[in-house]
Amino acid sequence: MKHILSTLLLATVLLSCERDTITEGPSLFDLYGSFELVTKLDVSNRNVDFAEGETTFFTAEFSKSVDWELTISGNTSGAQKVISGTSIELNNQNAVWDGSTTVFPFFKEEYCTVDLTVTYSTESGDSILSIVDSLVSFDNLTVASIKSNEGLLLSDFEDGWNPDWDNFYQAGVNFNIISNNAPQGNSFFNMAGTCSWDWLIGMIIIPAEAYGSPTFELNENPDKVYFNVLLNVPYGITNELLLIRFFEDDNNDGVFSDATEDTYSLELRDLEYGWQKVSIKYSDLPCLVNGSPGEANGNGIHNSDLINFIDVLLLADPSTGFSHVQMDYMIFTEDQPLNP
Amino acid sequence: MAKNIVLTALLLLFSASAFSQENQKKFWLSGAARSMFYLDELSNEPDDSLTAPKSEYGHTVVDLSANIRPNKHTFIRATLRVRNEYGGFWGGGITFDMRELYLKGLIANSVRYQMGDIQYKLTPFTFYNNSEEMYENTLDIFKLYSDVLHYELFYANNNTWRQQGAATDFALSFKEGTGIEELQFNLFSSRLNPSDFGNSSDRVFFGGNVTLVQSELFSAGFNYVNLTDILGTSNNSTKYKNPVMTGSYKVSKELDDFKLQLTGESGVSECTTENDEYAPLTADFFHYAKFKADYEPLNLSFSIDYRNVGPDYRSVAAQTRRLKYTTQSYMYTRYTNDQIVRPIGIWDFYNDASMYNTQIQTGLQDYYPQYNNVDPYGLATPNRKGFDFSLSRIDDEDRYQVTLDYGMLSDIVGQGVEELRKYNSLSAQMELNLHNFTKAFDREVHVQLGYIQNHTTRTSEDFDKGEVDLKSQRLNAGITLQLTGDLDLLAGYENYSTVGSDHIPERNEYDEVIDLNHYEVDLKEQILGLGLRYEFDDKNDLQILWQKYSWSNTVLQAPDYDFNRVAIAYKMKF
Repeated sequence: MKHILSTLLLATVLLSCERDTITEGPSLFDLYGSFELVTKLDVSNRNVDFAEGETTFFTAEFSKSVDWELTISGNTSGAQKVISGTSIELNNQNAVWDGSTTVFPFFKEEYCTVDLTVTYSTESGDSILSIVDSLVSFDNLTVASIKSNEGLLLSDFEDGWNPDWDNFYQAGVNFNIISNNAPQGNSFFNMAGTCSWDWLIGMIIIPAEAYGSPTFELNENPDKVYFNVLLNVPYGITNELLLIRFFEDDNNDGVFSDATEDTYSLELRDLEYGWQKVSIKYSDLPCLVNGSPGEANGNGIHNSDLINFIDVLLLADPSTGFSHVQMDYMIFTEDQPLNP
Repeated sequence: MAKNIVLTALLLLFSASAFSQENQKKFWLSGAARSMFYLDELSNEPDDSLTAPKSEYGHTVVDLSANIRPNKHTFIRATLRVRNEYGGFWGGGITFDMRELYLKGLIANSVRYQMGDIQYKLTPFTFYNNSEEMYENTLDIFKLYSDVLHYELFYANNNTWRQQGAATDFALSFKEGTGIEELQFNLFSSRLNPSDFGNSSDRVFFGGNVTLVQSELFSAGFNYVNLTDILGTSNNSTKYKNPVMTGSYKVSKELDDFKLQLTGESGVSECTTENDEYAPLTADFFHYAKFKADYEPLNLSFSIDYRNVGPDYRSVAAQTRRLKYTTQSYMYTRYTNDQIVRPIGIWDFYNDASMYNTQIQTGLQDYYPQYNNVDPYGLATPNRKGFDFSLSRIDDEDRYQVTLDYGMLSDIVGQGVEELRKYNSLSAQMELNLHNFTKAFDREVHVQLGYIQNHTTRTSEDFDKGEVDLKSQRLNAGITLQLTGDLDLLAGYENYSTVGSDHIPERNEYDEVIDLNHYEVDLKEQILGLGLRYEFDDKNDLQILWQKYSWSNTVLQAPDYDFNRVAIAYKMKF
């Protein structure tokens, strides 16, 4: 009896160990404490050479943890990079800039301004005030060279139309390269027109042979390969349907055979207005049969290293009239989506 | 047409009852009935010309149970409710409901079962219906309302939850010399939520316990419950689940005049929603142990218990609160010329059935810190550790009964700051039967006295906003005086106050604390009651009560208000 009692008591006491957690919920000081900028915004590298792989980070310190947002704006390009977080300080872990862009166009070699805004609550008498997006500090830096993106670049349209590509355009449509207000560089590809008798307005065909090989030189693991493209739907366009298809040469005989080999597709519709990045992992691409997911005709395996050619089709319901999509910077990246 | 069918059914029931008299109770009727009439008056700021101050209403309810015993091993009960609101003219205010339906029986003289409506509980950490705030030590004069509410909501006195499902229990007995006396099994399953075949899946609650009885001195049990969705019963691919596993024990020993008992329970819980990428896996553990010593010559009982319930311990069927958190009551919902929402108070707790849960709820519900900041989810309240002490004595000659409780709890982890809140609670309750003290009283005089104080504190050296000081006090006194044979005079007074501030956690759908809302209160409530009770017998009485209630909270921008009520209540069981 004594043994049972003592064992149970001992077990209860021993098992009542403390937990790892120290606090639960948000810090009361962060919720109600007063806010002060303890150390103003500073930039670690004011003349940053992104092309050489350099990065720059920002530092600042607050009296309490707040929601903060850094906005880096290119004075020439108008590009913006937004970095945000919730912390008591900005440092080389949470406020690093690698030259990438949040709001297109891409940055150029240019002078940039940096704004630091914060959002927090503070006590004022008997009330709690919410301060939203308050600019508390600013600084500047210079982009000495722009960031380069690794991958297989299909085209950024800076050098005009690739003569090894093929195309089909309905009569009267407007598929051309425009060198003005591009998200990257100076030029982008414009696809616009009306076709009252067919869904297809126009298409371009990008064969792997245009890059010197029967198939695109990509990693064989489809989980590592990402297809990226920058797209813009002008304001007012709502009927666009952009179809990008990837044709695999499963038997590697140099020719794609529709009856026995795989086709995977990226169907885009209802895109938002403005330039945007679209990225997709190759293994996530579905096989579409008449617009619906279906069985692939070939081996059913995403063979990213056996893509024979790609085509890009601008489609629209003939009854809806004019449609318009702009495209730039088509690139395959490895291991991760494009970080422009 | 429906009413005709029901009336015909009632007639058939009565006919069957008469017939059953001749057939050795294969069928009989039982039930309960009550009739309540209220005359309420609200008083607030004198120039309130928009709120109708008086309200008169009432109802009559009859619950008629058909009890059927088709054979000696089977019992069936079906209870039909007929309710008539006063003012319903020629049946216009009458409703008919099926209130209860179950069957139970015995299989092979060894396995008991019940199907349909079941009352069930396991342990305070797995499956337990904790009493609501302000219920313990209710004065006789106010008990009428609590009793009605509890009857309506199926809150039985044994802290069970009403469920719809099935339960069974059986035991295996062992031969002497095996070291085990008995192995008891209790299993249940209930359905909490039916699928809508759209986005809401079937939700079931099941579990049970196995208790090994070694002897009268020692027993140990294993308890398991799980509340989970059944995938495939709707289009929703997420699956909520909350498995809880505990072990419990009881050790008893008699030493001379002392009866000693050690009971305890320890366990772990998990809670998550599968296929919901944002849902965390919440897991934690608890320990509870209670040592109790009874000194028989003095009828004195002392107990000390320790608990440590982790901040992430989740056991929905033990943590569901009876009282829902609401800011509105159905009585006098708005008042003053601005028609602002009337803040609720203990008056509403005593009267408003819509403020109560009848079913197990997932997630830690909001609570009323002004009424219970110490353990709003009962013993299973997460993030509590510490000791509770209790000392009680029941007089042999039934002259008095006194109980003293003291609790010393604290947070396990700080909320918003590293410092921990401390929760000190004190309760002193006494019941006196003055007529047993001296023969000078030739009539029964029952006196109730009670005092409860709960105090939450937290000191924070670095940040004064982290400090907490919230203090509640309840003082009540009541008397039941026998006027003549079965006629009693009832009187009671209750004073409740809470003053101070705290930071109350706001939780998201996954029970994570996402905010700490500053809460400040300076609340004062009083109820004074006077009444007469005539007891026809133990199951049948008539009460005429008058009450005056006042509410004030200077922190809120809401004017004080008072209620006056005259109530006539007749209730019986048959």
